[in-house]
Amino acid sequence: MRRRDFIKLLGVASSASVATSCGLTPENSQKLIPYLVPPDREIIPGKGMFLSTTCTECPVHCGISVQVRDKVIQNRHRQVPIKIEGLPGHPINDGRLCIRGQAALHRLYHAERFKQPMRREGDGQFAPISWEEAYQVILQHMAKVKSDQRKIGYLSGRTTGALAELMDSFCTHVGVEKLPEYEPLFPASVVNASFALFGRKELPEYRIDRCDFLLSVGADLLETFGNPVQNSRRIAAQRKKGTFRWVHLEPHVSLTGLNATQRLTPKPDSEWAVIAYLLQRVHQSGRAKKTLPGSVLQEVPQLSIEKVEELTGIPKEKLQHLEESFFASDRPLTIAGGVSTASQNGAFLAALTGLLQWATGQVGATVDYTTAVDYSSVGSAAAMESWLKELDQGRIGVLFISRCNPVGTAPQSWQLHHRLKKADLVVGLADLPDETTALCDIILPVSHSLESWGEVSPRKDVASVLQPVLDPIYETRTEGDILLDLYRLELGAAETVDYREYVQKRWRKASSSRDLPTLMQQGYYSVSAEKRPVRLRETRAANLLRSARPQEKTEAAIVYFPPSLRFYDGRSRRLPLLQEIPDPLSSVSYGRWIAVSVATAKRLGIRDRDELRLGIGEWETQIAARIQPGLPEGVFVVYRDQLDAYPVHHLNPAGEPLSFLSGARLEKTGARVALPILSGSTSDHERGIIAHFKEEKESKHEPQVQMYEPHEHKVYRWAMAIDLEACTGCSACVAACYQENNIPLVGKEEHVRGREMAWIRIEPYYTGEEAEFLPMMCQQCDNAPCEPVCPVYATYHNPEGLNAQIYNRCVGTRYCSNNCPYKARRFNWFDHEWPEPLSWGLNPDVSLRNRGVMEKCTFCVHRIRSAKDAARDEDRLVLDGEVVPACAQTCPADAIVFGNLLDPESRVAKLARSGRAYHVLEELNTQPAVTYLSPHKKEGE
Amino acid sequence: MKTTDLTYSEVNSLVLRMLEPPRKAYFGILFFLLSVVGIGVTAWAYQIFRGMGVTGLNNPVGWGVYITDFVFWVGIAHSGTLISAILYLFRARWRTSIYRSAEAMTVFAVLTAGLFPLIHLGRVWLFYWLFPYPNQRFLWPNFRSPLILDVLAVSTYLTVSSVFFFIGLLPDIAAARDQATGWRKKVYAVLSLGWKGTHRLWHHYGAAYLFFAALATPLVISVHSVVSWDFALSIIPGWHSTIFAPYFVAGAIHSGLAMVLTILIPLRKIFKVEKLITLDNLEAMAKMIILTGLIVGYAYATEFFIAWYSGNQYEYEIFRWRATGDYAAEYWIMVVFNSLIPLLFFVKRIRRSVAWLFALGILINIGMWFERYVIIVTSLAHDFLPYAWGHYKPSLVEFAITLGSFGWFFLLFFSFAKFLPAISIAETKELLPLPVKRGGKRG
Amino acid sequence: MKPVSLVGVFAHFDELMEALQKVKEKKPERLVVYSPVPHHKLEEILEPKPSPVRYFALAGALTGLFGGFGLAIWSSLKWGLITGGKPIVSIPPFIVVGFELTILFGALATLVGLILTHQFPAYKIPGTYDARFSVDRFGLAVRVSQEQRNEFEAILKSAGAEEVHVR
Repeated sequence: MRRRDFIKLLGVASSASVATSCGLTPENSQKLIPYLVPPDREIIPGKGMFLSTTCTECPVHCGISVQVRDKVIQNRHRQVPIKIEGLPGHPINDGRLCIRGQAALHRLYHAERFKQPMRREGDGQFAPISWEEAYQVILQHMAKVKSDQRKIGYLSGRTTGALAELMDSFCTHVGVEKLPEYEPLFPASVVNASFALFGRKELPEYRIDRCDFLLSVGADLLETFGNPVQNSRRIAAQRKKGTFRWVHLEPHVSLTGLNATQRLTPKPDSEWAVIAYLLQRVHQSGRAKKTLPGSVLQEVPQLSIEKVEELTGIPKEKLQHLEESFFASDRPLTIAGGVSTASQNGAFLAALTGLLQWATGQVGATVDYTTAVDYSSVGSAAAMESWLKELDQGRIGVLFISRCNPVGTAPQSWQLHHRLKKADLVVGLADLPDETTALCDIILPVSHSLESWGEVSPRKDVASVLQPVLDPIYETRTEGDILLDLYRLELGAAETVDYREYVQKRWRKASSSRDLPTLMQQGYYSVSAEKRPVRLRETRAANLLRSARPQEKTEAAIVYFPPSLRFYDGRSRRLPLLQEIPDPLSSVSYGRWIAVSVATAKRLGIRDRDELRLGIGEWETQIAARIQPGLPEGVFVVYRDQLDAYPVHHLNPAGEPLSFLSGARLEKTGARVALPILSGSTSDHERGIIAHFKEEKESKHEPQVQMYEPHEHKVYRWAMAIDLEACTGCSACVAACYQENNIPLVGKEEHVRGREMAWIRIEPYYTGEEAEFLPMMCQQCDNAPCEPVCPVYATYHNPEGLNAQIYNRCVGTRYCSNNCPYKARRFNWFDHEWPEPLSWGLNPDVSLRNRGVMEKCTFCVHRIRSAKDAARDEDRLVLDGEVVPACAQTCPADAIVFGNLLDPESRVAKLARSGRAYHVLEELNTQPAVTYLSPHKKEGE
Repeated sequence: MKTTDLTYSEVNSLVLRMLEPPRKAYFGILFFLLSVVGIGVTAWAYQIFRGMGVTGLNNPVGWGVYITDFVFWVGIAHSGTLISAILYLFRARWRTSIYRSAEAMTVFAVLTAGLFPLIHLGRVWLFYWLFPYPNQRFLWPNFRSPLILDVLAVSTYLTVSSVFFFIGLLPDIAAARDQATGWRKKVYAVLSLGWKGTHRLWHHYGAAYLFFAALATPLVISVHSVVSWDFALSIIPGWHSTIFAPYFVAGAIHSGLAMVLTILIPLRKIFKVEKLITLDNLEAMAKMIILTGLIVGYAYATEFFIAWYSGNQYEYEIFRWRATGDYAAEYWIMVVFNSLIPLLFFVKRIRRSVAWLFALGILINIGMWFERYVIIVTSLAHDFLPYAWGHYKPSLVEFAITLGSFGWFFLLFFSFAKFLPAISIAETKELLPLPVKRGGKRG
Repeated sequence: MKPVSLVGVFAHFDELMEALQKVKEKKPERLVVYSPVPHHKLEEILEPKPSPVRYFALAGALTGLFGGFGLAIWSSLKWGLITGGKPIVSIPPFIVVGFELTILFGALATLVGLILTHQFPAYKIPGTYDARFSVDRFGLAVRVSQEQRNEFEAILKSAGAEEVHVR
């Protein structure tokens, strides 16, 4: 070969390689990229790009801002999401996000996701097939079923917005019967009551921010009821005002209850008596803003306070106190829901609550129906009976089941296990395998919402947009596209649009004023909801009260099956991150357990981790015990997501399945279970770790005697203030931290050995019936005990007050961890695996740690870094609030404040000076950079 | 029969007979010890390959069996130097026959102990970062860290005690050289550095030996003090205590003396040197064990008293928990074996019975191992934040490596006993009356 | 006339000393006593002044002391990293460094001193040496001119030497 040819070839080769490495591949070349940051910016490698979309982990549908990074994956540039944050300004969550929302990426990158359509073979195993084949099979069956006059049913989880619209037209045109939507946590009793009372099949928005006294009955406001993020944020805001009181009634124990100013535990299913009592007192005392018609009032049982005491077991004084404070306030908000309405007398309770809201004039004020959540399309368990019967009689030939898991969550009485077999073809639209998909014949893999276009309406007045932030990882399609495909194939090529065009067209119609990119940035648009005034429907109200008469029998040995903070109705229980983070009440991470009250445990000689045989009727299961302070004697709790099937049969008058079973048989099997209980003790042993707030005065720290000259910090001393009054223990910060800092998930065995890797953790400390939740992370001490013991300077105090950890200098003596009084340090016992595609979600700003090195909270030093870079470019100092660590960013209660302690005007500096400020283990004189604000003492039982 | 009835030549023959070519049984034992070491090495290799997770360690208990072993072996080392150096300065004549093996024990124990700081490192392949060596980035160790002080102390101790050991050997190796034949003669010739016992050699040698003894004496005290500061310089309740240095030194000598008994009693039997290592020697050690045992017991009591008297709730809780909590069994083993069992030596019959001495020696060794285990593990498992309280259970790997360390130690000692004079010839002779004509016994 | 080496082998120490006294008065060219054990009498007669080893020990110890503190302080200042709010130069821990190095260097220097004063290692075994000198015999070796030979031989014999060899 001649020299010139060689050089030519060389040139060609190199340019070719350059071209390929530019990542100009079809996938990411054609893509609408609306930025939250100005759209004129190009993708800058190493810089995050923020896309607005909507979270679909639960029906609340928070607006989210997804950080997308340009990565080279399998020798190809890809934009992949690495972190999800709440979308600022979004009406649902305004920038905050819950633990489940933070974990959404673990669904996107889940190893078990359905990767292509699948069909059940003769041997019961699933085999992959192509989309075309799948559609063929479905269409053939549909044709056959139609021909012999049978039905095609479409069952889905709650569906709103564009998809709801498309689904309706699909069903009508294709001749499919749209079954009532199935939502396991559908508050049927409450919605039923507001329909009867006010003619709305809706769950009103509870404006906690507008009330001055909150009485919640069973409603787990901080876990799953209504809009938990909004609730906790509003409660926190109210608390800051100081005058706010919050009484919570619940028969068991929940995170919500433990956070209330006062928590009362009435006997199971007796809550209605309290409300009934208040309702009649409102009228007797003539305090009613709106008097109830006699026909209604006469249906309200007349109870003396003694009778209420007898029914509920709540001492008289407590009831009087409640009554007083209820009347003392002029905007008392009453909310009933959760386990209290999902019970025999729940329908009645809900009705009474509605009436109380009405009588106290809160409907239209703190109970807002103009921003309510529409539940008209969702069916109660009772509403399902009709089609279940048809299914049983084989009159439903083809059944679509989309975005829900009835087999795993519906009452046993549905008998889906054998009823589903009666359909010729069950088509499952799902992303992850669950009990229902296991029984399907065809599985159509649905794209994750982060891979999808779409639009949902979390509230009547809000439409929230979904846009893809990455190309589908697998051969999945959105439900919208699937419907459109079937539509097209069934009725010939009438519609040729894909779902993307479909929703965009809809948007252009809906928000003609705004151009698409702006809408994409904002993430939502408001819909004009009808404002017709709410009026009380007298006769229907009376009928409801009559039909739902409460039973006064008291049951014993009751097991409640409430939804859990971490797994909602169970739909999130397969997400590894959520299993890794302990339940804040019990501090148990992996596995199943039953919460046993302290008294019962003493009586039956039950210890933590004892295996118990739990039997109710013919239903029986083995489950580990966990002693739960605050739980009333004779009451047990098992989160419903820990059951593979919901053992309840019975429905209440509103058609809502009960949330509990009574007559539980409980005995020790004698075995012990390796249950990962991460907490070493539920009490703080009077060590002042939770310092309850006494009286307001300027900072309570006296300057401590220092052995050496305190070293001074030049420009910044980064510090954090955590308000324990606001913190609810919801653990969203923990999830955010895991995702932000590439913290490995180590699994159950390691947790049992006590090797969890969380950089921030929620420590529950119980005193009697009450609990406080303490977020604990590296305290970045000024006199850090971990530093001087390190033989190689792998950890030291940097000029900005950070306790720096140098991974690649660490040799792993673990002395720093031993000497840390807060035990905030984490050692890498093994190398950790990040299987594809989970590895795509790694944060490139945070280095991965290999085995044998120590790690810990860095105050999100990479965020500090980039803020300082930005500041330097504009040559100024970092502004207060410019650096926000992941934990503080997501905190729904805004309990975590971060900033520069040297700036006396910064929020954190002000809080550090407040009279409530204290440091954990202050007497050790470690001079932490984390200041805690002591909570007010709870009023307790 | 007493040592002093021997003649010079009898001493030579008695001691040098120990060096005669070994028999089959010897190789059998050697092989056994080698395989035990093998087990430990395999376990360590596995640990390096997989990560520290193969141990039972966790958060909060970051130190466990390995550091226990480390302190245990360093402790063993101490009595050796005590006997060879301190007792030399005090001119305790009974030390003569046993100091050589005690010294050997010291060197080998430190060689064993020195392994554990490496074994417990998360990234052992970077162990050299712990040493102050010049490098272009001026990355020096943190001399404020107790661990660095520990590295310095232990490596100094190893160096000095080996030198001391070797210098002490010179005249005897020469003696061996003069007896031996063939390749052994050559080896001894080299090792003896050409020792000829001239008056000038003896002169300088005596001076040097005195200095070594004088330097080793404060060293031995300092080393275990520094080891104790690995804990005392922390802030962990149960560790952070001023009593630690003397407490640990006493404990070290306690365990060391017990180990000397454990080693010498079989040794004098196997090599039939009861004439040299007499019952009186053993009894003298038993008496010292009584003393150290009392000191250790006193330390236990003081710790408890202070925990209560200080009114420090963390301190109080940890000691309450030690005695009654998850590790109560280990705790009471430590108390009984270390401070009560030694009191049996007050009984003359017991302290003059070889069997008793041997048995109790082993018990004390066990007790002292558990002392370190209890101090290290319980304090970490139960410190300031109740949420972070934990529990630690050693894993099989840790057990295997510990076993291996015993194999390693005895392997070294066993090879030494066959190859180098395990009893000082020259110094034993010094005990004997000089051979003189006039007034002398022998003519 | 080339000088000769005589060596007397003694079984008893007192005889050796007697011979030694006599021989010393005659001021032989060279005089060496071999002994299986050290004895202060020998030193009094032959090596009155104390061994120079001690100067080595002292020098080494001082080097270690200052070296230890020096290293600790200098290397800490090199980066000046704050740990645990303690001063960069925090003397208390450095005392240990100083102390350990004092011992280490002291010991090593003593060893060096010993080796130098011994002319160690000296593997050449002189003809006058005898294997029994490491067992139970004392040896007195002198270097004398041919004419003094008989005279010295007589002294040794008379003192009670078992054997007298000429090498």
